[in-house]
Amino acid sequence: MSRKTPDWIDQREEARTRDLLGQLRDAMPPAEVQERIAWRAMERFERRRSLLWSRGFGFGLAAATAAALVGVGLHLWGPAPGPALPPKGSLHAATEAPSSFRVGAHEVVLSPESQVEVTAAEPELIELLVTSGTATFDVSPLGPGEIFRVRTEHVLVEVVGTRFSVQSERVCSTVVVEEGRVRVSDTEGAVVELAPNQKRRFCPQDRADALLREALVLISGGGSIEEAIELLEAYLDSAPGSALEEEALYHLCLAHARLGHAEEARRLAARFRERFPQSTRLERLERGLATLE
Amino acid sequence: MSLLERCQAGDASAWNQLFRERSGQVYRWAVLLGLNPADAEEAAQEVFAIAARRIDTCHADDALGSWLFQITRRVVANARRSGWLKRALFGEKPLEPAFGPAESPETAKEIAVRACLAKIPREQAEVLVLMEVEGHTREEVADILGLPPGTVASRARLGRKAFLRHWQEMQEAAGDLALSWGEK
Repeated sequence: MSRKTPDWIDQREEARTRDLLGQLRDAMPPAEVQERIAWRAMERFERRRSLLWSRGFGFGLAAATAAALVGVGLHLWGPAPGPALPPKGSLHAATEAPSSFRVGAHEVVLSPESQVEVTAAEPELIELLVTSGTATFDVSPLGPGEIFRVRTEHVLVEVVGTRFSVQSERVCSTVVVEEGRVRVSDTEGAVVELAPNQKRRFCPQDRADALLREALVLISGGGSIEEAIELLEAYLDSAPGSALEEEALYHLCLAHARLGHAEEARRLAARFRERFPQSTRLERLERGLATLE
Repeated sequence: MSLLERCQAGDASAWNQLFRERSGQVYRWAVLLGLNPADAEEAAQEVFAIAARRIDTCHADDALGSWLFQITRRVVANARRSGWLKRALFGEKPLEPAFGPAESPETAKEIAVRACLAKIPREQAEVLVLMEVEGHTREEVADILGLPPGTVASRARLGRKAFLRHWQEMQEAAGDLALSWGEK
């Protein structure tokens, strides 16, 4: 009879690990992610290069002469310079307390845990990307041809001289207008205009579906049930009445049952029964709930 | 002139080529070393920013990959360190698909593999990624990480054991869950 030596076990473990990890050997992110990384890296590279260039010459003859001849000349006889624009690509974030920054004549106030990226900063075009959290924009009246717009992953908000806020969440974006008017385009190309005191939530369906998929992957992969619950609740909140509502509600109910949240599970089961009285899953749901004390 | 020499000379098109050729690989390392996709994207940009500053410390064209890996592991370690408070307060975020469409049948497996890698000590995970994912030999890994080959072998052995133990536990947990829900 052969004896299992430690070497033999090591070889078996090596082969198994190689088999599992080797599947990721050629794993690559989606093309747009690769493109974005390369593009942003290039942008940083160019920024650093121009900074080095300006440092290299800034303290030399060019700086002295330029300051004396051009700077002073402009100050005395030229037009007054406009308010400074932040550099394109710069990130502005608020962590625990709100913070604000200026983009030319306009002011942006960031709520805690929010971040905004300046994606275009030219006199005629200012474009900001709300990557997370909520930002409120106080936009000064725009001159002819001037554009001020704000993007999230889900919407593009174009300003017509106004005060408004944009909140970027995991799946949806919410736009609230306080003064003036804004024009909002969603990812499917639909355009709506919002007037003062109007609030609108934009939730692209494919993003919502991704939440549900992620929750189901967690459940089937033995991941955290608490996190799956969070995702399922976010899905149901962002896609009410969707085709997959039955699927989401069913798993949400069982997930609560699994964690012993009897009251919540029963409440959800009642909601399921009301929404999908003909569902073939109703019986399985009742069986699952019967195990609860 | 080689790509490395052109980069060292400050040729912007060479840098553009390097970023495009290596962005996927650096992102993959960052994900496998424990970052979620969004953080891995940030980390990859940071790796390239450091690479641009320190390109003079890379001495050979064929060492570019291992040199970038060394930068990546430090950037990832820093990112993990700086996020400890958030993790302590809110727990680990659920892993998100990093490599393909979320509906891909391989996605659940990808996430499970990454979850197991995330549970083993970082130095063991680095060795496993280099050997089993990138296909380097023990000697090459020793060279990349600046360790004796014996240490690499020991980390690989311990890493494999820990990885497979977590894999087994995960499979059992998934089986229990499916059974308790009355479906597989």
